Amino acid sequence: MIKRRKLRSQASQQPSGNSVSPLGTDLKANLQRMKQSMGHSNDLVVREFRIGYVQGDAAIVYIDNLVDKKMIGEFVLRSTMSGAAGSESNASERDIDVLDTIKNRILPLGEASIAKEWNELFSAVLNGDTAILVSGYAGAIIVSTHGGEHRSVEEPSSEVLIRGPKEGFTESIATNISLVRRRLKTRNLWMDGFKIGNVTQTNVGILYIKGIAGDKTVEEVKRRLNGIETDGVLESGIIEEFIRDHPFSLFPTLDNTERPDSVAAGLLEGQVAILIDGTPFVLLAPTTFFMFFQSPEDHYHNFQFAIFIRTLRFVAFMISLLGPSIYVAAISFHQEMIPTSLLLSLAAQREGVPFPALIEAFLMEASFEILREAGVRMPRAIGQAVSIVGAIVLGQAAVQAGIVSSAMVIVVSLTGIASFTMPAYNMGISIRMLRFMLMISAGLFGFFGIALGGLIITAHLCSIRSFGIPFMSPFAPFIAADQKDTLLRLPRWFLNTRPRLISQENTTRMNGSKPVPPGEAAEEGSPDEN
Amino acid sequence: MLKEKINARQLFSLIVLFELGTALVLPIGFVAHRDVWLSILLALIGGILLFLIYDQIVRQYPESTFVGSIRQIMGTYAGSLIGFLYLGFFIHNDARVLRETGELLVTSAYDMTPLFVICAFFMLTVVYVVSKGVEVLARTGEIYLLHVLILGGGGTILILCSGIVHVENLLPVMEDGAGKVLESAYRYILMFPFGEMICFAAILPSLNRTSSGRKAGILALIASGTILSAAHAIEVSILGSNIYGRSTFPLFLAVSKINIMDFIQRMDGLVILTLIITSFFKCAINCYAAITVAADLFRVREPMKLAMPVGLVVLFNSMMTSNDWPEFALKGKVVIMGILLPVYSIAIPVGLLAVHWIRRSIGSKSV
Amino acid sequence: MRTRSASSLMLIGLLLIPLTGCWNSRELRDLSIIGAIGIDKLPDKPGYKVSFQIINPSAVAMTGNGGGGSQAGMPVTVYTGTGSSIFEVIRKTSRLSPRQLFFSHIRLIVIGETLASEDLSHLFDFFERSHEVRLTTKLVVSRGSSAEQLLQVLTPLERIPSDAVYGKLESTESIWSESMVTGVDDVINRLIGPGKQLLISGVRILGDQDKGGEKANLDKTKLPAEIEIKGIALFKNGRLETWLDGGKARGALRIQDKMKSSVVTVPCKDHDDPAAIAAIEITRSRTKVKATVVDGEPAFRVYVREEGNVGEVSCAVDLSKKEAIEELEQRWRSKTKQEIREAIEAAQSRSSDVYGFGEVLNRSYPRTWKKLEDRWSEVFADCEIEVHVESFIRRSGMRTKPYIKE
Repeated sequence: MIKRRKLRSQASQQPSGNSVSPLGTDLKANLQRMKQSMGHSNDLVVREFRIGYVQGDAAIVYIDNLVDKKMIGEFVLRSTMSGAAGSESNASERDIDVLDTIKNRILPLGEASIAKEWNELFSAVLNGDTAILVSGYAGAIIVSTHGGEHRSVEEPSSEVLIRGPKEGFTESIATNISLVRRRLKTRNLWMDGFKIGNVTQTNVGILYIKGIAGDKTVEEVKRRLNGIETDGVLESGIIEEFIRDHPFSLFPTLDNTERPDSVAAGLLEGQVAILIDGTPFVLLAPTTFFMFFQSPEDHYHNFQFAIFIRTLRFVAFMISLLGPSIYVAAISFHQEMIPTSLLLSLAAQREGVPFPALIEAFLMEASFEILREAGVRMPRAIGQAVSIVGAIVLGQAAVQAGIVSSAMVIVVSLTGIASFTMPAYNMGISIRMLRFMLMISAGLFGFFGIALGGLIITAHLCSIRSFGIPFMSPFAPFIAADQKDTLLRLPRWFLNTRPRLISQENTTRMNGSKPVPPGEAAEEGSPDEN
Repeated sequence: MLKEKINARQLFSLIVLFELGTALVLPIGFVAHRDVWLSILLALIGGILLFLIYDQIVRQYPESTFVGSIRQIMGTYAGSLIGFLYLGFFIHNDARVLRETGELLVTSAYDMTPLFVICAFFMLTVVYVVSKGVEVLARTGEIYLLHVLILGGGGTILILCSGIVHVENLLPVMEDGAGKVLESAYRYILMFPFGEMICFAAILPSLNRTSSGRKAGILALIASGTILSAAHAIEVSILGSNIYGRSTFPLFLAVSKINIMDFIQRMDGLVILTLIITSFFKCAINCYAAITVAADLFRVREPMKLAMPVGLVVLFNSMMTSNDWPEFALKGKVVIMGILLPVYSIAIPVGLLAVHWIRRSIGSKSV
Repeated sequence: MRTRSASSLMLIGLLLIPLTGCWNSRELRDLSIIGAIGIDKLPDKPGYKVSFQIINPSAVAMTGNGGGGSQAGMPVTVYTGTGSSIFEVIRKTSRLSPRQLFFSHIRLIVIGETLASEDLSHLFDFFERSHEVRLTTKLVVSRGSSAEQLLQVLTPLERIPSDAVYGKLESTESIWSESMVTGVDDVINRLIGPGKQLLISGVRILGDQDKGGEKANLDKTKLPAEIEIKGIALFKNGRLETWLDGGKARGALRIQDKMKSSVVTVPCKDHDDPAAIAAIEITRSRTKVKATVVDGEPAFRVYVREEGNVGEVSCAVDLSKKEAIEELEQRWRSKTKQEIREAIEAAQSRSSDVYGFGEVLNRSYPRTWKKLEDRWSEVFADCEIEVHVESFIRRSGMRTKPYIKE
């Protein structure tokens, strides 16, 4: 039964028609076949004309809106139409010669190649290239005429910085690669291309700096990408799910970013970037747990601020993970830990509340999550009203009606706000889910439950790897040299080694030099001289 | 089984957490009273010696597991027999740690909860973590060592700031004579907690560089011994030797006296947290030792499959071992510290080493 | 496969256990937070009468829910029960209290004077054994009234009476230093430890005891019933022997190095005009007790070093002159010495070493201590104790010469 299912799916994956057969020489037949394969779609444009060189019929085929029509008109049609007739020579040799000659001598375009097979032809045309078919010759010239509407390079919406470049990736993989190349003008920046997805045929590319990125890592990435068998890849998240190490873990093991400077920084440290056509989110592998706490801004501001902010982020992480749990545990089990005056205040607040602390916490957290999701989807005009309604009306009214206590509202909102400090959204969502589990264990066993839950989570974190790198390095295993850029950020002139496990071969950057105040530099004559 | 490697730093964290284990919170100075800090330091020396013995045994056969080394020294049958003895010992010791922790938690905070439930959930967590292998255990240990140090450091600062320490309570030193101090050190503290290091003999084979184990182990023992000594000294100086000697959980009492500006008070939660963490690692390491020994003896290829069964055995053993706390404490004093630990942590290892040396010298003579 | 499903079944089974209930979980609504306990003797049979001062959170909290205090009810309620053991009484009182009694926030334990006069050494085992009660709870003896009556008195300014007493105790220890703050652990250490007997501060009700518990008590500006910290109770072997008041009490604190600050009045000039006084504020005071052994007999020296400022004078003494200062210092010295002597006298006359001289001997001469340990009380009564005082007046405030003319 399984075998039959596989065969059937294989059959359905292939588009109708024999894809591996070569083109014939009959122009009309070729054109007819093309139109038929695409179901006479209106946006498949066929423009027939006469090529001057051959003095024969030809046609260009392209898909409307995927091409730059100006380029076609200027460079393809004009140059081919106006060419002089070529010299006569042996007919059998002409087949290849003619197409080649047209390609080599007549077409003044950047990229051109010859396609002999149907699937090559379709793949090219569907990508935005133009195919030139000449009557009597088996083959088609493919010229690159990519065009069409693209989003321009704008500020990335998901990662906003105060200081730093305001360029973000777009949906076009070519633009994205160019954005990275502009920042890393080294010949060692290598790129490999893949086409993933049987129906979508999405262009996927990986970038890495040869000599800095570990060879094994690159091999592993390539291997995993090649192993993906699926219908369609629309977003980097889908690729992520296919190639990640621990599919059932709540924690992400690949980072994603919309910023070219983050990608460039990652490449410099030895990571491999995976770019997918159609999405501005680029994957970076391998990733460690602490990278999710780092924002590129840490490197652009001064280091004291960076240390402060990173510590703050970590504290916020702890609060957002443990906040409601500690509150529930203290209120339900360990009342002796609360200072007396605070306890009296809390007791007074909870006098009228009908729910036990755990249920109350659950309710509040759940409503906060609902509010948050609603706020994201709301059209902008109403979005403001939702937050006001949610926060003030619901919170205040609930407290006054005696359904929840004010302390709980405070705890939940603090937790929610703390979870926003996470620079990486995917880590933030893991934490939101873990928070609920910890709340349950806190409600059952108090601090004991939190401690056990924490142990389980930590053990789980310590057991996962991202492309071979332990997820919790450089804390476990403890690598002293890498502490310079994990929770702290030492001044720039100290950061002269790369993370050891990721860039295994090449770990020394250039030795930074400490800035020297002007008085100590050699003096060259005082400006007072007249 | 030996494919997983841990490095010296991870060994260090594991040893420190193990040693702190339950010894941090129990009144191990019930004989020496106010001189307990001295006894600990004296016992530390003995503990280091013991560790060197274990390290030496493991070093002789760097490619085998602990049981493998025993088999090679004593022959297959005698070795397997000794291995079985150790299996039983590790399981029982683990059960004791589990029971101790559970009892302490129930006494200090969770008086209504059935002991079985607490022990069951604790054991469940232990089984989960241990089943992931020694590398994960070691990495988790590294992270939690940091936690424990921060908690401990913070607690110490709070204690010092709240002015409840009265150093006079430690005087006079050795008022009952040096005899009691030595007795406390070598009859009791050497066994618990230092003698329990024998289960590290099952972990030492997993070191990536066998030679680094010695230095890391000694440093770890010195560190944990100093911490224990200081902690107990602080406990005595806060509580006075009388209350210290009579309480089941002196660290808890000492910390509960912290009161800074009427706001930071009753930090017992910190102590409970520390207890849970340190005894977790003690339990997990014992459990891991039991599992590897069992896997070796029963020729199981994937040792971590045994994690759940061993865990269950330990759990039920811990429930059945005593009816009440005084019986449990008495058993600990008479049976464990009196008979089992001297045999398993001193007599047998020394014997093994002796046999090994004799064999080697005979072997080289015959060549 | 089989082991996998077996172990997952066991796991699920284990996980179902907590669904039966979380045993130690207690809602705040189910707890009565107790501020203070009072223990009295039962008049005719053995056993105790225990009173609990329970705090009413809504009347006390600052939140808007509390509303006007008087509408929400009294800030505290007092329940009383009797029984042969304290633990028994606590559980028995569940017949009266709608919520479970919660001890972790107790500030104060009040012991009735009649009970203290008999024997209080057996009282504290419950507080030791329970994990809820903190050892830092403070102890006082109610003077001239029963503990139950004391707990009923309402206080202005501080809504919770146990907090009020606690606050009074702490503040008077630091600025008047005639009473000391004693915790339960101190008491236990002194009851069993060698060579140290018990001292506990006393609290009494000034005014009409019966009116103390009425709300009307708070409706006046001058209250009919007030709580005052007064005196220190001196115990021997767990039994209240006598009360130390005034200068003796201050001396008692001085010997234990617990003097923080106080005001000493000394005569201003040589004439015997009782109205001419100078008040000296003690800013620092350090006491060291040293033991010596002479012919097998122990002797002690008490060294006191204190510093102070002149806070008030009512005669025309010129404080800018060195001689005047020295004269005042001299008088201060003798007053301090006298207070300390009186305190020592009070202890020695009752053969009760409440100041810990025995412990000092133990620390320096453990062997001598061992010999004398068993009959220390008698030995102590005859010990020679010298007092050396050094007093320094540093400053005189914002003025030098007073405005008073002769």
